[in-house]
Amino acid sequence: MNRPLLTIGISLALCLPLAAQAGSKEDFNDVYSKAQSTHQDAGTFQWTVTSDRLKAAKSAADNGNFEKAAAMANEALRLAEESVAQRKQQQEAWRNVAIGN
Amino acid sequence: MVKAKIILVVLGAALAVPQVLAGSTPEEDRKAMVEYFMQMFPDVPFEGFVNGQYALNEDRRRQWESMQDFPPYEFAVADGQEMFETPFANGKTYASCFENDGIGIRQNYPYFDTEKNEVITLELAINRCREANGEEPLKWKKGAIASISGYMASTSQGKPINIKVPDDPDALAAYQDGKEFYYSRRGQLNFSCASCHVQNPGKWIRGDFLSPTVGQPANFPVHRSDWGEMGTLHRRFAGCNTNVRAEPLPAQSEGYRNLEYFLTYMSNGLPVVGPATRP
Amino acid sequence: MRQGLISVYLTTLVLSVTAPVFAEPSQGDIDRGKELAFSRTDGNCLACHQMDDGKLAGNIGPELADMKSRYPDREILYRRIWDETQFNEMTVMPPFGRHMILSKQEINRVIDYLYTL
Ligand code: HEC
Ligand code: HEC
Repeated sequence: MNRPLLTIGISLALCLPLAAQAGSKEDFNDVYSKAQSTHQDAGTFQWTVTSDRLKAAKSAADNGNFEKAAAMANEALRLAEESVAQRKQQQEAWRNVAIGN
Repeated sequence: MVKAKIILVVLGAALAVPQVLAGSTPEEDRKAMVEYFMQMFPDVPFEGFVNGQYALNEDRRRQWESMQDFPPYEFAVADGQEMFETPFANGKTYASCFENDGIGIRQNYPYFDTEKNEVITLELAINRCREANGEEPLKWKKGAIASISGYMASTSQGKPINIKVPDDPDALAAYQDGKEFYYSRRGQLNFSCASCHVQNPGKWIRGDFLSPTVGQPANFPVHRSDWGEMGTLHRRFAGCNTNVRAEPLPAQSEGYRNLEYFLTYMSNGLPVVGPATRP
Repeated sequence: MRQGLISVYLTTLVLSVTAPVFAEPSQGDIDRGKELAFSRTDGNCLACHQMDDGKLAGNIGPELADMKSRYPDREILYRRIWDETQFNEMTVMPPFGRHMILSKQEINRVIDYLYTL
């Protein structure tokens, strides 16, 4: 078997999950602050589930569990992004269902 | 000088925005909405809408009527009256803060204060009255404030709701803001208030039977068996927001006051029936 | 050691190839799908749809029945549950996939269950 190829395959297979799980404090802080600011951008369109994930992320980080903290912060970020998209979309879309314009 | 410029700019924006946005007047909106629900429920007389879900569901209404002999809010309303009549430390009472000594005025709230440029709800007026008289404000959603507001509503029963949007760009902007909130989808579950209360009244959502927009605020504050006590309209707003996984706004925030302004305007002409009971 | 690593790699490959192919669902898959569809904190399809032996079902949406004959194309059914607003802008049905209410896998379990109705 081709040695270099195999090595690449192995590193690929291993590195991806490892990188995601490495759970360093810095990685967490990055995602967490991005999630927080995106959540703020949602304005009056914030989702409760985003707040829940942010709280869970914070408390995992406080307990030193950065792997879980980063996972929660990542989920919070994706939810927050959807809530911001909802806010943008509703800026015009609400008129389509309003009675009287 | 700089300050004056800014004010001019802000005024300009406030003047321009409603003209661009407002295709229909509040009164046109209200008429269209009443017409919409009258067509949806041709057997319900206009005044019937104050009974919310009970106007649309025989079974539920019969059950509810059989409970009306001993309304669970009676004690709270009596408490509210006592608090309303008890002088503050400075010797004055709530009556001193309100038109007609606070009796029979529920139907005029909320109103737009053109000097302060904001919507004044009954609960906000109650707490501002306390603060003006050197008392601590009450918590917004339940307890004493609901009792006092419940007592004030009880002195206004039967009076037609009479919300006004004065000819003032800021008042119109507040109304428009409430209207936009009402029709905008929020939360992970992606509902607007209208998704449930305009599109689907008369239908079941799991075990709950949905009421229409028109008539809703007439029975507040309300005693819910779910709460086991009385609560204010903003407590209900917060519940309806969280149910769709949207972060609620703080009670009496500008956003919720504007929402109440729009929502109550839609019930103009219907009699005050609060306090009432709901599941 | 190296042997172990290689098999990890191979397993990943195999999994990613078979995932989109729908094998007959197991009874466990179907039960899980029903649980997700009924639970108030997951799909809560019962809030709006009558289906099966569900109690206290709402009536905002149509009854979910005869799913296999009405939705021979699994992909279409999947896309409607993923985001019904793409098919009907006014719908009140939540966009389960787009808003991350249910994961892809969870939607697939719900579909396994729907196909028994
Ligand atoms: C997912 C559906 C849903 C959405 C969205 C929703 N509500 Fe409700 N709401 C209910 C249900 C269920 C009840 C209780 C049954 C009823 O009276 O309709 C209720 C009750 C109410 C009541 C009390 C009615 C009464 O007769 O006492 C008010 C007021 C109200 N909602 C306002 C709102 C506002 C404002 C919004 C938007 C912020 C909103 N709702 C969004 C489901 C919803
Ligand atoms: C808030 C109400 C609501 C909820 C919750 C809901 N739906 Fe729906 N659903 C609807 C409505 C309304 C329709 C009708 C089509 C439309 O509005 O576009 C519909 C249509 C459908 C259809 C097409 C119906 C047909 O007969 O062809 C399917 C399939 C469906 N829903 C599946 C689901 C599943 C699975 C769930 C739970 C994971 C779910 N729905 C949750 C409201 C809902």
